[in-house]
Amino acid sequence: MRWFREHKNLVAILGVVLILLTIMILSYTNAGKTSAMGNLAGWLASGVQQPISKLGNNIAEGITSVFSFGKTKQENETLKIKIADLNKKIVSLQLTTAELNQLKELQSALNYKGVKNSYTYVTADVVAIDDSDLYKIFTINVGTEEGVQKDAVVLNGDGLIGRVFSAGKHWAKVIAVIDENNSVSFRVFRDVNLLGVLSGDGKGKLNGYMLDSQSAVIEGDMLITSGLGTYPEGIMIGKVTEAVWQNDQLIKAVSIDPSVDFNSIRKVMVLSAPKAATSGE
Amino acid sequence: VKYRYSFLAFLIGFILQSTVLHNIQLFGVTPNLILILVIAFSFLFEEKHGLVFGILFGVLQDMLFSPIIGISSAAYFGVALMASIARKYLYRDNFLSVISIAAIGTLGFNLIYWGLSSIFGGTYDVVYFLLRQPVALIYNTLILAFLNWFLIRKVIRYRGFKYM
Repeated sequence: MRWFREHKNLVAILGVVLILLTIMILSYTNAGKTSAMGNLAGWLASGVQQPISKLGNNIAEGITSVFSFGKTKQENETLKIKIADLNKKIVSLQLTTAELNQLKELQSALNYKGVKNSYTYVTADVVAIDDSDLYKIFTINVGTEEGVQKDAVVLNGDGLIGRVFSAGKHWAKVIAVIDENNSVSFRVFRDVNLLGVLSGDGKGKLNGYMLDSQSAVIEGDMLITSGLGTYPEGIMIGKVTEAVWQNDQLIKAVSIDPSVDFNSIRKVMVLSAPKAATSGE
Repeated sequence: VKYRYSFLAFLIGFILQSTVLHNIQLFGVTPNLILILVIAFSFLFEEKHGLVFGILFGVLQDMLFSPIIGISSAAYFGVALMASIARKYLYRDNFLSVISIAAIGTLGFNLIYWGLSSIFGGTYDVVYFLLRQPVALIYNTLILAFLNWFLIRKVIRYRGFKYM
């Protein structure tokens, strides 16, 4: 006891280290579970930070648009050409819609229950994000009350962002696919028979390998989710930047540049499986 | 400085960091205001505000932005201890001391953070981690230098005065 009294500071430091270590181990073993403290932090993020975040984003967007007037003009011209091209495509797609409707009628007549398109979705704003540390983890303003559950898939217009790590009442913590240890199964968009598995490469990008080592995957191929595992089929993941045969592991390894810019995520869409009924649209 | 003032400073820092600062990111890196405040309060003032609020806001930060809770707290705790010890050996009114402690603190924080993340299953590459450091160093050092020069030195003239 005398030793403890004489070394008060050291005992206090060791005590704090021990408490922090216990918190880390508990949080590691209970990953993804939401505690009362976690709920409070989430409430703070979604309630207090949302208006400030919105204001900050609006100001930043305003300033950026002033300085990028030339770029916007050029983008406008490109988009006009794209619209003309898309209008042509709409005409041909309208023809196929008629065929699709006929097939749907047949599906209902035969009482066939498909698995595709059974997801509901809810849109959300990113209310808190911190780029000062390594992880791309952020908080969104929807939670269990809106039908968002742990492991729900998160995406935006560009493609796959990640999944819900933990969820509270009106908030959820999202972990980006580039931070993931867990593997994501993919298909090559050019040839959907080519399958592979990828995960975060520890450098802010993705890497993986092809299931068939003879796969003819090439640089520039676009990758989409395969539908096997957590992520539903058809979500854009990114573009292959390198495909090399690795002699030591006897696999065809691929490096992927994600289609989503993880540094400028503002709005997301959360997909919910049919079991977890959602109230939002 | 009273605890309520330092708490307010940390709260404002935390809210700004998680809402607005991502708009001024450079190569995917933003300044770490909590770290800057931890270093400032531990190095420039006698009290243990940096230590206490570093742990508290570190937990809050981890709850929202990290897969493992406690990593940031431990890293802030380590930096606060280091800055408190440095206060005894460095002249705190010297501008160069402040800049040096900001740079060492940033590197120390990120090393502890990366090390603990790796122990708990983090996959981040050491080269990628090191490449982020120059930007983080410049950002944090500049902000701490600004805080020290324009705010702390001008507003709080008698830092040792405990009734402020």
